This record gives sequence, C-alpha cells and structure tokens, in this order.
Amino acid sequence: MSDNHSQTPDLDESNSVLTDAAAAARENQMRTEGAEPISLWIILCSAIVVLIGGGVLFGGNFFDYKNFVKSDYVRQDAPGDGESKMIPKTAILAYSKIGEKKSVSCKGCHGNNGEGSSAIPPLAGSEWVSGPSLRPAMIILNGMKGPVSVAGKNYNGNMPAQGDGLSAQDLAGLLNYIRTNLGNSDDKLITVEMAAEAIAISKERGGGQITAAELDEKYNRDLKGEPLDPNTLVNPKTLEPVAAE
Amino acid sequence: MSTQSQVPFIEDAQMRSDIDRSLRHPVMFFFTSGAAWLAVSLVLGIIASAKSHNPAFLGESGWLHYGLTFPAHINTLVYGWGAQAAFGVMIWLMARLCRQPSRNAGTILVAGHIWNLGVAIGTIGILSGHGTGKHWMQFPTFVWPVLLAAYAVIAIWSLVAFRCRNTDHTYISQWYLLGAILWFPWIYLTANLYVNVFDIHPLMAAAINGWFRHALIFLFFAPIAIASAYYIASKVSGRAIYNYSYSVGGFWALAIVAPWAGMQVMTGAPIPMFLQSVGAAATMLVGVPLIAAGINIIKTASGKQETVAYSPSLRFSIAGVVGMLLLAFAGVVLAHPASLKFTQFTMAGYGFDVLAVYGFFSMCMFGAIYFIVPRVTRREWLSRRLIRTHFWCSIYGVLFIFLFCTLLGGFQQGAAQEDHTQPWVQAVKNTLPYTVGMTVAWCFLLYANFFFFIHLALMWLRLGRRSSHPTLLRREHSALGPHGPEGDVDELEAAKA
Repeated sequence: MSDNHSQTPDLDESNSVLTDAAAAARENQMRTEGAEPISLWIILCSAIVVLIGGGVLFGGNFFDYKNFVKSDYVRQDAPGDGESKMIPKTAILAYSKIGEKKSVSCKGCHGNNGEGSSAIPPLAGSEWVSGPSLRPAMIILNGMKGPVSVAGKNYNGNMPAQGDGLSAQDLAGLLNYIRTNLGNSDDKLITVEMAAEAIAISKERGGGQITAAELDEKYNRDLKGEPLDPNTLVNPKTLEPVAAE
Repeated sequence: MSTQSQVPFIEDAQMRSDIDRSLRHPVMFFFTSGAAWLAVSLVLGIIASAKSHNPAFLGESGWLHYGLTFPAHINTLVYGWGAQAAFGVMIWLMARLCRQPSRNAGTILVAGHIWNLGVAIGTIGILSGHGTGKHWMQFPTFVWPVLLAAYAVIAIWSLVAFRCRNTDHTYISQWYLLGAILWFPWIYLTANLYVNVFDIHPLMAAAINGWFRHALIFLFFAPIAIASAYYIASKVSGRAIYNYSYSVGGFWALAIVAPWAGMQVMTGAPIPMFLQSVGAAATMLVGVPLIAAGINIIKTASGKQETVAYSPSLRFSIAGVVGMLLLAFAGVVLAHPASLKFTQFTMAGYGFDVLAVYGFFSMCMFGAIYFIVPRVTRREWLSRRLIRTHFWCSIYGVLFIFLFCTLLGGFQQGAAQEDHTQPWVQAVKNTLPYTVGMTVAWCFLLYANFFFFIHLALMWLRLGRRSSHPTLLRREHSALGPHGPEGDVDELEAAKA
C-alpha cells in the first residue's frame, strides 16, 4: 500500500491518514466549551461603547434636524473678485431672471399668466404693455386709476404705485419680462439706462396715480436710447454687455 | 495516549481527511482565483490612489482614470476576493463542523466558475464605462442576478450539510456561518432590488446603498471571519473557547444590532432623521459584539504565545481579530454624529471599508487559508519566508491605511472642508501627504499578496512540500518537538522499513 502511495499519493481513492494526510492527522481535537468567567476587558470595552452609542440613540436627537443641519447656512464668497468667475448670459435670460423675481407682485392681481380678471385688466395681449415703452414704466412706477380700455374691454380699477425700492435694473428686468413673456413678445429689450430715464421722468412728475388720459397725452412714446438685442451677452449681475470672446 | 482512545482518534482523523479530500477542488479554486482577483484589485487600487494625487500618472488613457479604476478596484476586492475567500472557508468549515464529506463539490465548482465569470464581466463593464456608479454595486445591472444565482448554488449545500449534520452540538462557528449564509442573499437581493430595479427616490436609494455596504461588512464578511477565527484559535491552540456562552451572546447581539447600521452616511440629507440616528448608533454599538468575539478569541489563544508566533494560521487570525477590535474603535470614532461632521465626505469612509475588508476580514481569511490549504492539497507550505513577507507587508499596509486614511486623513480633510472661507481645492491639497501614504500602503499590500498568490498557485499545482511537518514561522524544528523529526514522508517510511 505504501509503495502505491509513493508513486500516486493523491489521486487514488483510498487514503491513509498516517502517510498522506499528515496535516489532518496531527490536528488537535476540538475541546468542549469553555466557561471561564467573562473577561473584565469585555465588560469594560463594551460599557464604553454602549455609553457612547447609547448617548447617540437616546440623546434626544432622534427627530431633531437642528443639530445636524445648519440653519440659515449661507456660504461665504470665496476671496478674490467675483468678476473673473462671472459666466455671461444672453440678455433675454439675464433680464427675465430679475424680472421674474420682481413680477411676483404683478402676478398677485394680474394672475400668474397675466390673464387678469373681470375687474383687473390683463397683461397678456395688452396694448398698454406692448405699446410705447414709457407707458408701462409709468404705470408700474406710479400706479393707475380711472377708466381704461384694455384689449377691447373697459375697466375702472385702482392700482397702487409699485415704484418704491425698484432700481433701474429691477425696472428694466420687470419691463422686459412682462413684454416678452405672459403672452407678449418683443424682440427689443429695454436697457438699464432706458429704465433709469423712466425713473427720472416719474420723479419729475411728483407722484400720484396716473390716468389713461394723462398717459396718452404726455407719455405716449418709447423710452430714449438704443434698445438691446435679446441675444447680446451680458453680465448676469450688473447687466452690462460683455464683449464677445 | 492509551490504546482505547487511539482507535477513535484515527477514525476521526480519517473522517477529517475524507472531508478535506471531498472539497479540495472547489476550495482551492475559490482561494486561488480569489487571490488572483485580490492582486488585480490591488493593482487597480494603486492606480486609483496614485491618480488621486497625480492625475497624469500612466498618461491620459480613458479606461485608467480614477472614475473607472476606483470602482473596479473596490468591486474586485469585495466580490472577486472577499466573497470567494468567504465561500471557500464557508463550505470547508461547515463540512468539517458538520462532520460530513461534501457530495456536491462538482456543482459548487461550476457555480464558482459562474461567479468568476460574473465578476470578470462586471469588471470589464466598469472599466469600459458601463458601471452603475453606485458604490459597491458598480457592476452593470445584469450581473447581480447571475452572482446571486451562483451564490445560491454554492451556499445551499452548506445549509444541507448543516441540516444533515452528524453531531448534536452546534459549534459557535456554525452559528456565525449559518447567519452569514442566510444574511447574504437577504442583503444582496434587497439592496439590488431597491437600488437597481425599483424606481424609488434617489436619496433613499443612496441611503439603502450605505446600508448595503455596512450590512455586507457586518452581516457577511464579519461573521465568516469570526467563525474562522473562533475555529482556528481553538483548533490550533488546542484550548476550549474561553467563554462559550458569551460567544453565543455575541452572535445574537450582532444579529440584532448590525442590520440597523449604515444610513448615517446620509446624515444631513433630507431623509427621515431617525434613520440617520439609528444608523450612527448601530454602527457604534456593533462594537459590542465585535469586542465580545475579539476578546473571547484572544483570551482563547492567550497563554499560547509561542503557538501564535509560530503558526501562520493562528498568527494571521489573531492579527485579523486585532483588526476587528480596531474596526470597532473606528466605528465608534467615525460614526459618532459629532465626528460625522468632519468625516462624512472624506476618505475616512473608504478607510473604514478597507480596514474592515482587509485589516479584519482578509487577515482572518489568510489565517484560514494557511490552515486549510495543506489539508486539502496534502502538501505543506513551501516557504516560511514568503509567509513572513505576506504577514508583515500586510500589517504595514493596513496600519498605513488605518492611520493615514481612516483616522488622520479623514479628519484633516474634513476639518479643511469645514473651513468654508477657503476654496475647496485647499482641502484637497491638504490631504496630499495622506493620499501619497495610501499609495504606499497599497504598494505594500500588492507586494505581500503578489507573493501570496504565487505561493498559493504553487500549492494548487501540488508543488508543496511532502512532509509530516507543518511550515511554522521559526528557524528550525527540534527533533524532540511534538511532530517528531523533520523529513520527507517517503524517506521516513523507507527508514522505518
């Protein structure tokens, strides 16, 4: 038997533990279960883990977002000038973005799509919006009262002035937004300079709601200045045109 | 030893060698192909790590960039090496403890080839840009059903063996093995269904992905490694488990706590708050069962310092158990909500994964492999120097990763990121020393495992020593030692005749 093994020790089916499976033969037999006292180390280490882990589990943070989420977190600007990292946008996008933000107060009465209501004239399709550009600017800045005919219907409402705290940029954005959105379209944009002129005229006038008759009489004209092509690239913050690269 | 006990002892040894023999092909296949995948994974890990501090490393070729090599590295590590080493140990240990030779080695071997094919296709899929981009699940989505089916065919026979066991006593390792065998399909199926199949909210999918990674570590890799360490510690030292009832308690504690862990990776995200809190607490509390098992195993082997030093299997297993205690420590430190602020979006999570998969699980698997392979091949390991190199380079590599990646690097990077007055790139620059340290660590591990693979492949080719002596990590054998004089089996037989 052992001679056979020496030649083909591993491939035959019989096997002798003593010669071939030395590793299995020399193994210790498994002992029965030990029952030494629990090590102090186990108790000590487990206690530390349970204390810290239990503190997380029962520390009252279960449904508390405040400890995990910073409230009112605003990331500071990175040092250095923000200009260099500015990505130019087309004028129509840059103005509309400002205008859309400011248009919330318009939409409160004139409707989300500028559709108006039985007592409030629409912005959509209104000749007062899409017509000569000084007229809508004056309405926004001074408010409006008295009878007015919009898109073939007569209204007699009362709109308060919206000009407080409205900068020339905001006004330009707002005008461009309502003149190119809400069912209106225009391929010329009002620049910040043009909006500044409207604010100056409004200041000169001295306040008080304006009427349709006064608008037709004194302010039935476009704002002075060169209108902007909607596809001009501008700086989205300052709205200054950027030279194409 | 008296004559009465001699006969059952020989019968017993005969049965052990029959069991080893019945499983030699699948076990050697799992170990050797696993070691090959480990080497592949380490090469990819070095490339990915080098790319993180030197993007021009190896030029600009598309399939080698970080976004492809890193997922390929981690997936080959988990499914190529980790799972296969676990399978090899699982089927062998279950057969041994149930005292049953396996009758299904061929089926398991075929399923093992299918698993390998799945991993290979998945890895090629990742490297060619078809990965899913979900951490630890990057294989293209058609791969996971294949792997799950292959797993079922491999693992079912261990359940059958347990059902038909030839012994009344259920050893602690069997508890852990049974747990791992049943938990893996649950974790793998659930996670893949929710992340890859069902159309759920992406935030929850990310949270489930975090749960999947922790569940795979704590409910599959950990129990297999603990089962193997309990067995080896008790078997090689020849002592009973220090406190058996406490080891069973540790198993049930793991079963209860571990499934909750993982969702703390989404801390601060708009998912239900309690998921994050429970995840953080469970990841910390998993330390309790890990400490219970770890100290129990170390206490079992303590007092046998010489055996721990000389036996490769015991030495690796004890090192793995120390890795397990470090993992418990890292879990407490990293998952605490106060430190998540710093570590959540840093390399610390990766360091935790590597510590779990390599420092703990793989070291235990190496210990088991050094024990099992001589038994199934009936050859002794060729070189104690190769084993020593493997051991020490693994230790250095894992310590580097634990220090540089898990602890220091993670917190340093996190603190730099928290300073939001500085540009983010500053945080990246701050971690440069640590990422370089990581690359060095992976080089250590590759060096260790390249030689391990060669050594294992030689054993697979049955080129090991034919000797009655184990390969122990000391200079020479004493002729008076317990194994008798050293020498070739044939020569000894001739001398006897």
